[in-house]
Amino acid sequence: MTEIITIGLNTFREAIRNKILYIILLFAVLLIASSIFLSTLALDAAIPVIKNLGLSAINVFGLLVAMFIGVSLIPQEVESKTIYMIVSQGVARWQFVLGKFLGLLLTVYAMVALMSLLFFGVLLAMVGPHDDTYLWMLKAIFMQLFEMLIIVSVAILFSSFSTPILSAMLTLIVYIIGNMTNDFWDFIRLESEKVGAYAPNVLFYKFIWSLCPHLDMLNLKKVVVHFEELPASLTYFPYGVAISHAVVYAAVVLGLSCVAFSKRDF
Amino acid sequence: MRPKPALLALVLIVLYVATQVLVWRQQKYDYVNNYMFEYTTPRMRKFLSAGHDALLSNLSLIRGIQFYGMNYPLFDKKPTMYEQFKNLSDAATQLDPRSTEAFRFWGFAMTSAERGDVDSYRLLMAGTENLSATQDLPPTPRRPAYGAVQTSVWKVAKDAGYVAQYELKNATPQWTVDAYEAALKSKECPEFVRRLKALAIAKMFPDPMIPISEMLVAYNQSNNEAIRELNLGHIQRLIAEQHKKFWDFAQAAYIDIHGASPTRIAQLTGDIQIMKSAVDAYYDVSREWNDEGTPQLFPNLTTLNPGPNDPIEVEVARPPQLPIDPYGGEYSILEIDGKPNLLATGPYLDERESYLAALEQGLATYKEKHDGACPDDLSLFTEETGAVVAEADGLGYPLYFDFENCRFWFPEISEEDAPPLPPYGQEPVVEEEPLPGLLPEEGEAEEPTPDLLPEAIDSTPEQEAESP
Repeated sequence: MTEIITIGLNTFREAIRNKILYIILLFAVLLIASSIFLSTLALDAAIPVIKNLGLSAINVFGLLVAMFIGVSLIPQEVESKTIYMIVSQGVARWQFVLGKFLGLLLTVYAMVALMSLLFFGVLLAMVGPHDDTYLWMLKAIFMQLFEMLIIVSVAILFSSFSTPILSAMLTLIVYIIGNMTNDFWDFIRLESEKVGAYAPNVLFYKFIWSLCPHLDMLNLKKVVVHFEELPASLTYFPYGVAISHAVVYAAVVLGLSCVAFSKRDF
Repeated sequence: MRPKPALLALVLIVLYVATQVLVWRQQKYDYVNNYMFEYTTPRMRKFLSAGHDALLSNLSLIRGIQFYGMNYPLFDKKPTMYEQFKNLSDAATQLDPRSTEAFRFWGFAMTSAERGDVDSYRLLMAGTENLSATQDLPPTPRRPAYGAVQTSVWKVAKDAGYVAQYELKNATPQWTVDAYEAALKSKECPEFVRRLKALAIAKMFPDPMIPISEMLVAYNQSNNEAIRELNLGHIQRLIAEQHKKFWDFAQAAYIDIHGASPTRIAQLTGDIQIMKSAVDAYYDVSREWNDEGTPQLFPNLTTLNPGPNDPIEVEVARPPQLPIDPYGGEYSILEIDGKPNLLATGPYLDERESYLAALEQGLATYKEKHDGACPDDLSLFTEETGAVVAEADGLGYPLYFDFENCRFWFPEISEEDAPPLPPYGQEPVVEEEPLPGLLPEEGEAEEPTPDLLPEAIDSTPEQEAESP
């Protein structure tokens, strides 16, 4: 456990020195700040525009950090041969992978925290201090942390056996697929109404659907702007299913990363 | 010999420009592909947004606002532009079905095109349905299930009612009523929406008690004196309209029997045959509009001039109960320019009362300055107090000043003493000189000629001020 934490903290320290991180942060700051000017074009919808743009910016730039930094974490260590030093110290490969995951996760969460602070600053300027808005936005950002948990684990998985460019593309594709699972489920429902719930093609679609990360369950951006909840959250304990899914999915993906990295020759 | 780089560059530039000119001349607007892009399905838009559909909805709204600002005068001339604008509304409202701002903006903006009024109504009612969706209702593809009814739903529904009532000119009053009823379901909905609904119902159903009941509810639910007064004004107007209908039946009966228009209310009310005929006629009309086919008479406002917190009562009259002037005066037939006009004198009495009160105030001010002395000259009075002394009231009855008792007064409104001018809203009729030979000779009595039905009485100034 100590090794994982040590590798994680070192990874975090290295990542925050990466210039790409600051460029991404700069663009995030510019985008969130520009929401003030963009909102003036939206008539009565000024505050919803600021909220939507802020939450989307946090989400997208968190994804970019995971993509640009996360996908090169492990390959960089392998190419620079520093992996040998680490492994020769008695650190198991799975500990190395988990340590990298932890470091990347801390980096992404730090970015999200910084962007959130800026976002709340913009909201404070536009909405004022006494408003329920902040709690609702915090709820959306909290769920985005779990979304980032899945994305970071996926980025680590692909980086454990693939090249950085391919890993980045695959991470992006998984992100897009993850936000479409609701539509995929609608498609499966329509197909099952046509051919039956146990038809071979429907079962196949359900199998594929179960392999996808359900990022839309963690996506509260649209609903918190209107001070609402997702319907599913009212059925079970608040967002319990979504959070459990995120944690378990990330654990499974990390498990696969550890297996993949342990089989890798370098 | 190697070609010079500059010459090569020049040749390349010329060739490039030439090919671009050829391409430009062959370029055509690809209607099919462009329309396919513009008419993307909502599911495809959501698919492409990758979880950021709310942001895309907001960006579509901003684009729509810009598009509207640049192109709204062309919506009627260029239908394609209107279709593109409408497509933007689909993008914004389908990506974020709970966006009040998007529905309200497009609901207003679409009415700039003639064809847009119906589209606007439909969009706003779809928005009302979306914003009213709750967890309890089963979700449909168009209406997802959400946690609670949005508090801003009444604004969207009210806008739909406004479009149906004023843009579509109440062509389908049921639309207006449906919209206002949807708005009234919201707890935050202000009370004036109930009044708008009542006015729409008045157009839809001839039965006066339905809109009057709505106004009574609005009156009783409000503690605001001005709002109660406004609701009372509407009730008075609706009742007066029914009374006018009844009196029209009575006048028609009088003309049938006597061959001339009545000049006194007493001529109508004193004749049982005429009153019975008027009651029967009104009963026949009310049988048509009552669901059960039962007749009812006109409503009477039994609480005349109520105080700010007084309850008001409206009851359906039973024969032989006559119409009670809902404004607190009396019904009179006044001859104006030789033609009988049926009037409710209440508004004119109220007007006189408030006008005289203002003059009394002026007199009190004058007396304070002049040790209680009465003004000898009214022009001096006007100069010192600023009070304007009119020549006559709305009916043309002259204003008098009693120098002895130091007070202003109007003569009583009476059928015997007809006013010289027509009431407000009517143009004075200029008498034409009769052609020679048609005048009766001296000593010859004029034969009464059957007169036309009296002119319809226009709305009172209060009604005109309150009408939208």
